[in-house]
Order: sequence, then structure tokens, then C-alpha cells
Amino acid sequence: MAKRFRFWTRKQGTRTTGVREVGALGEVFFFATLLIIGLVSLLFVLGMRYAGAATPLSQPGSGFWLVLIVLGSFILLGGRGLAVTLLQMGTSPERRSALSRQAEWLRTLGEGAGRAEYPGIPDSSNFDNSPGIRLAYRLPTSHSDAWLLIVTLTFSVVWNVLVAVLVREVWYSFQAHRPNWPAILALVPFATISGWTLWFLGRHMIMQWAIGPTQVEISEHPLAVGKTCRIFLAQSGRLDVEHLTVHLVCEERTTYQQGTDIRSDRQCVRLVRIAEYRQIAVSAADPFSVELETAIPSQGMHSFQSPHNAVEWELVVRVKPKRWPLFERRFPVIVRPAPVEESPHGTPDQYSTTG
Amino acid sequence: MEPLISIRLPGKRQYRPAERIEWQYQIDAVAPHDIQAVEASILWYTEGKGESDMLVHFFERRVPGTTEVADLRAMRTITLDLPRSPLTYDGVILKIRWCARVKLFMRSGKSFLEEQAFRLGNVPPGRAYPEPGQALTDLATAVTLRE
Repeated sequence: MAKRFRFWTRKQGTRTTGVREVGALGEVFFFATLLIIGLVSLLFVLGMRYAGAATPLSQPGSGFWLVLIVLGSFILLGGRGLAVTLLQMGTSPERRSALSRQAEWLRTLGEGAGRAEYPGIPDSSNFDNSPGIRLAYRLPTSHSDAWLLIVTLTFSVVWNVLVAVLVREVWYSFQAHRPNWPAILALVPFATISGWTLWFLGRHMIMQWAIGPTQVEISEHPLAVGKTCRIFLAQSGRLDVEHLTVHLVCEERTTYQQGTDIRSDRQCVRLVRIAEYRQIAVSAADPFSVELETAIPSQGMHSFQSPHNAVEWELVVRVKPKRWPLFERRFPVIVRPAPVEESPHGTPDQYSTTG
Repeated sequence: MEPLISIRLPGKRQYRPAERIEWQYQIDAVAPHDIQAVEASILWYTEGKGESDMLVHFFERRVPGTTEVADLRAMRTITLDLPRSPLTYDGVILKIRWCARVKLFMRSGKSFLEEQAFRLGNVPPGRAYPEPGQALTDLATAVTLRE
């Protein structure tokens, strides 16, 4: 705790060098002021309107409902902020954590015993609910290429409509023998960007057509530290591949606040090369497929997930086609700690106290 | 004079996942009527580049008059089963720490904290990859069957 009051404090995320109580009082003052301003102003506005007084807000189209919405948001923000701050002032972080853990336990009562058995490890049900053809489970990718295609397509359409309107304006101005020079000058950069979006979209669509989906199946899931598993990889499409690699990667991921920005960082802490192939021809009739076996390193960390931090394991497939840029597809997996001998004492949450 | 809070963890403070432990805490150098509440917890928290997260595995709050004993300074023994995860981890940008923590709240408004760290599991420290040559020499067991 700080020994004396400071005017200037340093802050990184939720950590600060200031006195916590002073900060809490400041928050209480701010939210209480917001709440009081909202309530008093709302009562005043409503009172004037229904008392029949002639005010600027009583005229049609004067924005009466907009004022109501703004004052209502003042009351909601102030009330919620005040309630949360007052609750946090009287409760230690440990007590809040215990209450949230109880709430989480109640919420996940019907979701099976997996998360309760391994706290802090993500639920694996989203990863192993799709059966595979060759092996037990088909893994989903961490992000879909379709989203990039949709975003690119939407931007391209909107931008090209804008350029078309601009071209029409320039065309009519020439027909009227009064060239619109600002529009003509603006057309040059707009048309350049338009050409670039069309080129990028076309290239992306051709790559999607040529590369095809990457399919990864796994013999068991969730995995465990020190255990082996089998992997089935299939790459379809129409391309000549210079090299294709399969890695098992473990990364630490964090998010943190820097000023008003939320930033994230990642650090690879384990890299296991499972396989590498060179000079492969993939065709629609003959997709590349292979069955592999790998082990989760016995000295590795298990998967972990908390609100701002994570340890994530992924199978990473990297493909370098001839004449095309390298692309990468990631398939997250959940890794649990090495199995321990069953405790003869019962469930892990049991405890007793004396004293 | 500040109150004394003592925490005693068994053994060498390194435990296996799901292991049962018995730990104790005691408060001294304070009058019983000066104590407003005592909170004891077993918890993990994160350190490193990201925002710190915390989750309690065990928590109890004792307030004079509402517990089975009137004097909260007496030695308290708690037996509990540790969870299977998350294990203690010394990573590059993320660290997971376990500790037993006791917080003493005084009627004067002051609070005092004492904690003892321990390790859950035996995961070696994480290392940053890639390092020169590391990716080539890392263990890679691969059986390939081109079909």
C-alpha cells in the first residue's frame, strides 16, 4: 500500500501505484454524479413536458426522445458503476473470486465433469464433437478462410460501387462540357484502390479454389502430456507443393491494457516437428493424405485458459505451393496434465477444518 | 505493532496434483476484539506480461461471533485436496503461481496479508522458441505412411 497520497500515479492495466481506496472513492464520486445528473435532468424534462410549460423540448422534432435516451444512459451507467464499485469496496478479491467460482460451478453443472475435474483447462467439447472418417475426431481450424473472403468481397463491392458513382459523375460532367476537376482528381486514387481490391479478391478466390481444404483427424482427444496420438492429414486442391510441414506448437498468449488499447502477445515455448514433405503434386482426383504419430512432450505444460492468459497447443500445417505464397492452417487441441493416480480421498474439492 | 500471521505448509511445499494436504495458520500479537474478519484461501494467480488473473480453490471467511470459536487467533487446521490443474508454471511471458494466503481485517480499517507460495506439479520452466538450431534437434517422432 502506498505510504502517502500521490498526485501522479502510474498505471498498467489494472495495476497502479496509487492508493486503491482513493481511487475507489473517486469512482464512487464520478458514478454518483452521473446518476444524480441523469435523475435530476430526467425529472426536470418530464416535469416541464407534462406540466404543459412551453420549452424548446415541447416543440415537435426538438429531439425529446433523444434527450430521454441520453439521460437514461446516464442513469444506467451511473447506477451500474456505483453498485459495482460499492460492492467491490467491501469485498476482497479472494472473496469475489470464490463467489464467481461458485457461480461458474452452478452454471456448468449440466456440462459434464470435464471442467470441474481439470480447472483452468478449456472445455474440449467444441473440439471433439465432429467425428472423423479415418480417426476418431476431425479437428476444426482456429480461424476460417471464409471470413477473410467475405470481408474482402464486402469491401471490394462497397468500394467499387463508390468508384462507379464517381465515374458516372465525371462522365456526366464531360457530357455537359463542364469537367468536374475535383471528382476527376479523386478518381485516380479511388480507381487505383479499386484495381487493387479486385486483384486481391481474384487472387484470394483462385487460391481458395486451388488450395482446397486441409483436413486433420486425431485418434483421441483431449490429449495428455507424455502420451502419443495418431494424426491423419489430408490436403486437397489443385497445386504443386514445394514443401509441406506439420508441427505441434505450444504458445503462451496474453492480453493486457496499454493506455486505452488492449494488446495481445504470444510466445512459442514448444515446437515439435512432426513431418516434412517436399515436391508433392496434389490434384482433385488424388489428394495428399498421410497418417502420422506424435507424442506430447513429457516436459510440456498443459493447456490453460484464464480471462487474460492462456497456454495453447496447436497442430500447424504449413504449405508452400509453387508460384503462390506460403499458407498456414492451425488446428487447436486440448492437452491435459499427465494422468495422476486416483486419490483415495474422494473428489478434489473436499476439505475439512479444525480450530 | 503489527499483528503476526503464521502459515505452515507441510513438507517441502511441492505437491502432486490431487494430493491431500493439511495446512495451518495462526494469528498473534493482536487483541481478539480488534479483529473484524479473517480470510484464508488457497489460490493461483498469474504473473507476466498479461493482466493478472486469479482463482481461489479454497476460501473461508471467519467473522467473530459467527464461527464455532470466539477467538480467531487460535491455530486453524485445514485439510483439503488440491486440484489436478493448473500446475505451477514458469513460462516466458506467463507464470502461474500457487499460494496459501491469509488476510486479517482489523476493526480500525487496516488489513494485513501473509502468504506462502508452493508448487503444484513439476512442470519445467518454459523456454522461448525458436532458438538457433533448436527446431532441427527437437524431438520429433514421426512415422509417415504415404498412401
